Amino acid sequence: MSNTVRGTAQAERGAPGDRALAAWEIVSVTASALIAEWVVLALAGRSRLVMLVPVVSAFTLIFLSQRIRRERARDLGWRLDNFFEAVRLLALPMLAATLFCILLGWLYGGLNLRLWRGGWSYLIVPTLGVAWGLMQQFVLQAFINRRAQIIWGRGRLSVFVVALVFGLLHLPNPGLSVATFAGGLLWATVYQRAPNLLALSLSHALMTWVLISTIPPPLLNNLRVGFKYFG
Amino acid sequence: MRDDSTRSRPTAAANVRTNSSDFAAASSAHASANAPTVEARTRLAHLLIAKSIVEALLVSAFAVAFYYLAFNPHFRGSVDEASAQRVSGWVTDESRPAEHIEVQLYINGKFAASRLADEARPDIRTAGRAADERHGFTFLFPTREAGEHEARVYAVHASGGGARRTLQLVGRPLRFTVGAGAQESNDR
Repeated sequence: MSNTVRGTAQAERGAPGDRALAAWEIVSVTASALIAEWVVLALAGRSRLVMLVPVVSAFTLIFLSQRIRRERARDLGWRLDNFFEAVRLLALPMLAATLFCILLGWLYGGLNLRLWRGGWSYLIVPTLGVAWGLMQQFVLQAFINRRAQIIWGRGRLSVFVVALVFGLLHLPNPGLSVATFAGGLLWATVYQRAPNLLALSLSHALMTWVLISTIPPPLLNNLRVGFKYFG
Repeated sequence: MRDDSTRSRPTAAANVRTNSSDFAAASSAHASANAPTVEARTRLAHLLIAKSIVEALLVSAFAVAFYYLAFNPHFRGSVDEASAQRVSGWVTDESRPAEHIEVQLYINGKFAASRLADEARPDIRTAGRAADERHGFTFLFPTREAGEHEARVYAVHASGGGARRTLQLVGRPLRFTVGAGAQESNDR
């Protein structure tokens, strides 16, 4: 039985050359994000358009890689048939995390559910939150998670690597790195069981809102990451 | 016959479990079926190399541009004299020869004084180092403490719209001695 399981996991992994290529792809996209956070945002000043270089190069790689590997939109998570299955898997851990955040907010006096400014913000803020979450989850799950599965197969190791990359991209903000590592573990696990990007982006937006509404801003340093964290 | 089919119908919970593993299995089965060919892998490797080159160039350009903006490479100058009475010299910015540079004096690594290098130094203009002669500086009585000291003069360069101010050593550090007598005369 255990041999069969091991055999299946082995079959899910790519060939050695393909595994090396997948590792390179993960490193390359992670490097683009780090360059954007640590170099461009810190040094570009008013020339923010330069930010397009790492962003465009990363997305070009992602799209072309998915095309070269003939990955279908459905496999990537652009689908609705498993939406409720993904929501079901997400619900309990999200509820636990929300209660934990509320408890922390209550203890440290950070509870503030009136961050909305009224008017259009009721529509614009959630829309932007979901769009931002969708972009991050697309890169993290539909690319990094799938490449990690080529290297290590489905399971704890690939989930751990996805979460580690997600946490790493939020350094040097310690609170946010821990939160995103935990979130990364949950979202990567759910994606491997029910790949649905819409459910994950909704979860991402909701948990971000919970985080900023409960945890005192100094603990998260206003969600600043990269070089901007220092000031 | 109908009873059999009713019995084999999965419960809701089992159905969810089956769906969950089906989603994953279908996805991974497709992934393994679509393992890239050698040609596709080569194309992907070329793409990765191109991306790495573009980003390496971007980071290098940022490093050079930042260094160029933060640390002015056009400063020229010298500390001609360092003694108990004065520390003097000159400094210019060759990219903006009409501009007078702010200089800071450090004695033994500690800030001592600051001023604008705008004293007359005709020799600087004669040597073609600046558009006018007002690029000299003199700090009088840099220290009153007896003993051996080191004087360093730094040119100040502002960048980032005034957000950054960096110091650049002018010439070489010079050593000088202040005698006990000089200290007494300074005290008087």
